[in-house]
Amino acid sequence: MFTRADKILIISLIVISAASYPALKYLSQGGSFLEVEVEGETMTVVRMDQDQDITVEGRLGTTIIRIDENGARFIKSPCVDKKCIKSAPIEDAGEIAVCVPNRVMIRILGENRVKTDFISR
Amino acid sequence: MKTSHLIKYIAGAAVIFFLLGLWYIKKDTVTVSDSRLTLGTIVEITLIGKDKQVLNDALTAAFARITEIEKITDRFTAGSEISAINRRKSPDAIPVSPDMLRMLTISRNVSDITGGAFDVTVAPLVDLWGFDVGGRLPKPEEIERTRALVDYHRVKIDENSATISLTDSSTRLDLGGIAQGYAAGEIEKILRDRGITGGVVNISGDIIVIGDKMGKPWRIGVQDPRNTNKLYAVINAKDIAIVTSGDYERCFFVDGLRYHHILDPKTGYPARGCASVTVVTRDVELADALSTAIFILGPEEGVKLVDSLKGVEVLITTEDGKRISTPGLSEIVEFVD
Repeated sequence: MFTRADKILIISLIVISAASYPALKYLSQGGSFLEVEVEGETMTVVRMDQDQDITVEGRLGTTIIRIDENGARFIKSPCVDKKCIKSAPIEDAGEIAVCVPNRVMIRILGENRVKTDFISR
Repeated sequence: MKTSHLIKYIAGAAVIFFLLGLWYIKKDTVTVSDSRLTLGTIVEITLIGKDKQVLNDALTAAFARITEIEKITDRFTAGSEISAINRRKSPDAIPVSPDMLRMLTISRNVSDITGGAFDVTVAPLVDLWGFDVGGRLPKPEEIERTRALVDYHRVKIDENSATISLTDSSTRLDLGGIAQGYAAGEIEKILRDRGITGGVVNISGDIIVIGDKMGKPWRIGVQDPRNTNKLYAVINAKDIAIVTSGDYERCFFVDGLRYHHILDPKTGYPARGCASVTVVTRDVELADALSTAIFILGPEEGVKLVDSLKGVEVLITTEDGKRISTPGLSEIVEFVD
């Protein structure tokens, strides 16, 4: 009923259609970004592919966030417990790190590579 | 037209309509999410549905409810309900809010079934160890003296009159083991009442999953307790609560020994045996309290407790790296390595 060429055409159409959605999504995304919030207000959104330090003023004082090949992390904070500095860098979209006492939150925007929606920790 | 040609055209059209249908379903679905610093931590809520306004209204209502609960449970704010209770020195009955009554009732039930491993009167020990300000190793006599102040039996609850009384003037409450789970449960009620059929509430790792994610389960990673950059399991979740207690979030080291914030009320010291306990069950309030209690009981007693409870499953990583999971998790848990 179907010739070999018909089958190839149908399979090709299915594959191209299925691949087009993630491909378009990837192309329109343009890499990951880091959003920095203080007291619930977005202070800045910066690219994750450029090494840099970001300085913001929180409730207690100055917080510095570093972006490098390991991801984004707090490197200076006026808080007492320094829990934010001890925590691991974040690098995947959706991941969040926070300094609760200084009311600073950082969040990575973009597509999630590890294919999880949330992390229980 | 030959029949074979007609079938080819129909097959081709079917493929195109199928793909267009998939695209339309995807396009028709809206996702909204928000993360805020509240309850002393990060609260993230993500909702999926068809009407953006409905989802945004639900988010607003959910965060408003969290603010109400924070005003009751924040022990470090002078104006909170728990601070007022902790300042009381008389054994007279204290009228409490419905939220406080419910949290203390759940806590008492978990204390009873865990033989006191979970205890809301642990506040003096929590303050002694000072994990909220970096932590310090107290002297044994300090621990012994403070441990004597901890006993949940000293909190009398009268549900009929909505009052509690503290039978010892030195008794102080800490809702740290229940407040986040309670808040997650209250948000779940609000979201379901508003017709939300897909979403996740994440209060610092206390997670309640509502429905699915466009026909697929939500994927919830469980952090490796000894490598904070890694997950060690992923749970495929639908209409379930997942709560983890670990020894890695707030801790310090003395002579190579880890001292963490999950304190055993019986010894006054950090509980030993577990590195991470993840409870999976339908009830997020229960999951929150149980994850702490099982951590304190240790792997063996913890699994025995879970076996005695209906609809509760647990994933444990022990201090020596052994992994234990109850049989009910086999169909929804993927181990990463």
